Amino acid sequence: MKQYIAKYAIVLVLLMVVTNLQAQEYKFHSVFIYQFTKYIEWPVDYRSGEFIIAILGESPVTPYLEDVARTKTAGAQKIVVKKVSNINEIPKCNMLFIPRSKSGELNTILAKLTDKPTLVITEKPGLGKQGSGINLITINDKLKFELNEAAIQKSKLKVSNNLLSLAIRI
Amino acid sequence: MIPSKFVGLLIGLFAVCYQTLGQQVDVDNLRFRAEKYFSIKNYEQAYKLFEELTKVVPEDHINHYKTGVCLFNFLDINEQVKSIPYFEFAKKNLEVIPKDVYFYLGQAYHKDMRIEEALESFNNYKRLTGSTENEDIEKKLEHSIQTCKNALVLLRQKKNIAITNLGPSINSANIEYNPVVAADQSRMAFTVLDQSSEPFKEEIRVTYNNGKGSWEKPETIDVGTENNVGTAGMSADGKEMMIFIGGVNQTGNLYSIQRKGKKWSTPNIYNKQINSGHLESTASTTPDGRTIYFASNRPGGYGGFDIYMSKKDKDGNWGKAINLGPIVNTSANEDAPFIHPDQRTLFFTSNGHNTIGGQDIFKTVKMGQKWSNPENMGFPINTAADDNYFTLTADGKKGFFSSDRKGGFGRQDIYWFDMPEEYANIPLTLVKGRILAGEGKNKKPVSCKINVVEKDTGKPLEYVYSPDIQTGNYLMIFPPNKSYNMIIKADGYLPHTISIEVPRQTYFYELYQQINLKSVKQFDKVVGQEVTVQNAFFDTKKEDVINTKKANESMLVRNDSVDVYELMDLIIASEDEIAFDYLSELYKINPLESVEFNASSKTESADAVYFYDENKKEDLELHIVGNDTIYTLPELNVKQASIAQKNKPINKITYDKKLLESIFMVYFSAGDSIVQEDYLKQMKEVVTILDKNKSLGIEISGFASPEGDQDKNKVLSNARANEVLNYFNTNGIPRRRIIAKGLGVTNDNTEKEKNRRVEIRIVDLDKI
Repeated sequence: MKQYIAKYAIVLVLLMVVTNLQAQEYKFHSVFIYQFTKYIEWPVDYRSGEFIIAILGESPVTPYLEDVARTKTAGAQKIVVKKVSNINEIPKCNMLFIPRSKSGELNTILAKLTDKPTLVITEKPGLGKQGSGINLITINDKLKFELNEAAIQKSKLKVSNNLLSLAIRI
Repeated sequence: MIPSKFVGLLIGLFAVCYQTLGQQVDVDNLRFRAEKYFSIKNYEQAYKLFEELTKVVPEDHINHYKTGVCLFNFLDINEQVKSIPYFEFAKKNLEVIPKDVYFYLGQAYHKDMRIEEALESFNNYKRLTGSTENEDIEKKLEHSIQTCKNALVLLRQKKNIAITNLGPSINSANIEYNPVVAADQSRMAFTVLDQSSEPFKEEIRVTYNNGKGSWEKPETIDVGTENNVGTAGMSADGKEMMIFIGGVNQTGNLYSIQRKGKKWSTPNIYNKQINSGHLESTASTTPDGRTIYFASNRPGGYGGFDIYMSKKDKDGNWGKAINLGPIVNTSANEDAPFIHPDQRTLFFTSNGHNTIGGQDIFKTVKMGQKWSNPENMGFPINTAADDNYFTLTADGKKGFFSSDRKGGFGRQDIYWFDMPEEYANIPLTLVKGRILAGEGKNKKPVSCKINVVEKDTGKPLEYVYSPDIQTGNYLMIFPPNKSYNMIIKADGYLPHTISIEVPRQTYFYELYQQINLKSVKQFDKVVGQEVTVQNAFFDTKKEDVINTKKANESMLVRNDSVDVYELMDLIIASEDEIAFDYLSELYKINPLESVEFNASSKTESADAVYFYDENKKEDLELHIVGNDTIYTLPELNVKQASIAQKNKPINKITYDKKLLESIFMVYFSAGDSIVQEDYLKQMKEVVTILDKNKSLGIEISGFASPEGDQDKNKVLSNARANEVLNYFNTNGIPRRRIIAKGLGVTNDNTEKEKNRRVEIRIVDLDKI
């Protein structure tokens, strides 16, 4: 009986892979985003209390990040995922994820966040150059991340060399 | 009367006395001899005498104890379990009987699979002796208790498997063991150890399947040596056998012999990577012959026999032997590896893992680079006796092994069993597909459901597949050697039935499938639909191994068996670019993109056009799927259609070629789409021609004059062409034979009225 269940469990898992082919990629987005909490350093006043990851609008990455928030921490900080429906509601946050559909608002957001140590993460080709801190893009079907050093420096964030060595630096 | 009575009594008394006296002499003598044999551990002789003694002195606990010990030390388990009643009696008088009667009894119960009683006896023994017993015995006791606990767990999960003895044509009072079977079960070889000869003689016997389900009389294979010879493994095709040849000095090597015609070649020794100068006993190769798993007791392992692996290098020599590591190998013995043709399931024999007694058969699966924790094959495959040398047929359905379990013809016998489907290692086919609708650049995913029905049984599979709405991707898994109907219900299309045949494969296959749906229009009117199916089979066995490995690892990553978050952390911490790339590779978005449907020789491609005028409701196929009734277009068998379309016969031209030259014009009045009488007559002639020549069809082109509103003109042009088309259609010419060509605005003709026309040409349908 044990094997019987196991076999079907595998089938089920595979089936879930299918249905979630799209969503699955977003798990990988969350894998990256979690790493950024480790390999990027925020100024002192952002290093205590909750570590806030804001997500603008709807994104398939949300449930994965919520999962991360439940099971992991950013250093000693508790991770909190906040969904934000419009740019006026953006709270004090360590990271802001801008889904592809909200890409058009990048410039407005950047203007709003000037001088704030918020890491802006986007997912549309070209937005790395346009000034987002990190841009998650797909190259040859593989998810990679562009890292705009100038933008990150401006946000007063420090990136570890380990992360830099794997990034596409802009 | 009295004296005679007295005399009688006297004589009687005397007789009794005499008898008792004689008996006393006998008993002493018997006991003396029995003890003598017992002390030199000749238990067979001792047993005979003690048994005799017990008959005369039935209440003697010591006799019972020693009879039990004798029986317990017999080699055959059927004798060993006979010791139980003797020990049971003996333990009633612990004042004269050693306390280890409980230990003996526990072990005897264990062998008889009376696990709970065994545990009770072991615990009694523990209680009686405390922890003062010597360390070795204590260890042995703890091991026995643990083994019984394992047995209890596995007995609760008893598998519904019937184990069958191969019968007296194969098995005898000798030891028959280590069966090796060709993948198609055409031949089986095994080792026979004859104990009646001195020294013991081991030889290989081979038997052929007579095709009626039984095995022919085994023949001994003479490999031209006086040494002991044993089976070690057999190639999947049965043409090569790995054998063991060993001497008396506890060394032995692996050799291979090939079947040539009716004979076996002389043995070729495996190279020094495989043979170490210590003992190499058993081996198993993958069907491609490139990887060998073998057992060896060479130094440097984890203790006793360990399982090693070696791969052929590019020159075809066996490379460095690699120990499979501490997950598989223990400080006890691991032997008899059998690698399943899927190349990732390894069966082996061990007395080191969680056995339920003696040696048991275990299974481990390679996940990426790691072997999974070995899993006990469970009861009744494993028992308290030695169960070992497992081999599974390539279809995963039949297992063979040897065991010295209770019953049988003495010592080890060869057994087989049918592996129930749910335990069988089924070589699955993984279908990775994508369904799109539309044409050219406008191909898009379509809202769609796919029901899958087993063709033979009509049984629907449990799952209804819903392709991803963003990508059109779906993924299905099928067992081999069956045909399935995929019932595709896409929005805006009549349901299609596409049948796929999953090959009778023995390996893990991947099938990439691309389905494209398209509406067929004639003058802007949807008159039918077209489906194109492309299948590309990838035999993962033949593709490079990396792919399978990657597929496995991808699965591990995707099904959360691995903490990708931590893994990524490690990768970043070590700035390992290769690993970084590899991990993202495992998350590759769409494997379909990389499939070249046209390049693979294993591609099937078929399309079918269905015209609604030919497929009335009564032509549709009825499918009942669960509670749903679905009418679908006639089934498209991709395999058959693909072959048919590739080998399409070139029809002989049977018509008068001049027919193709004629153009029939139908002119219309301005703003009007009514066909005039004159033209109807002309069109009737065309119908006659088409009726006579079935390979011909017509091409209808609609024109419109350039004057006035363009959109209106197009509508009018289509209306006129449709009028003509409908005439043919209603006069028995199906739409399949009509090619609609909307040309729209034209001013190729100076006479305006001539631009308001429909042209009819006769065409050869085979040449379009």
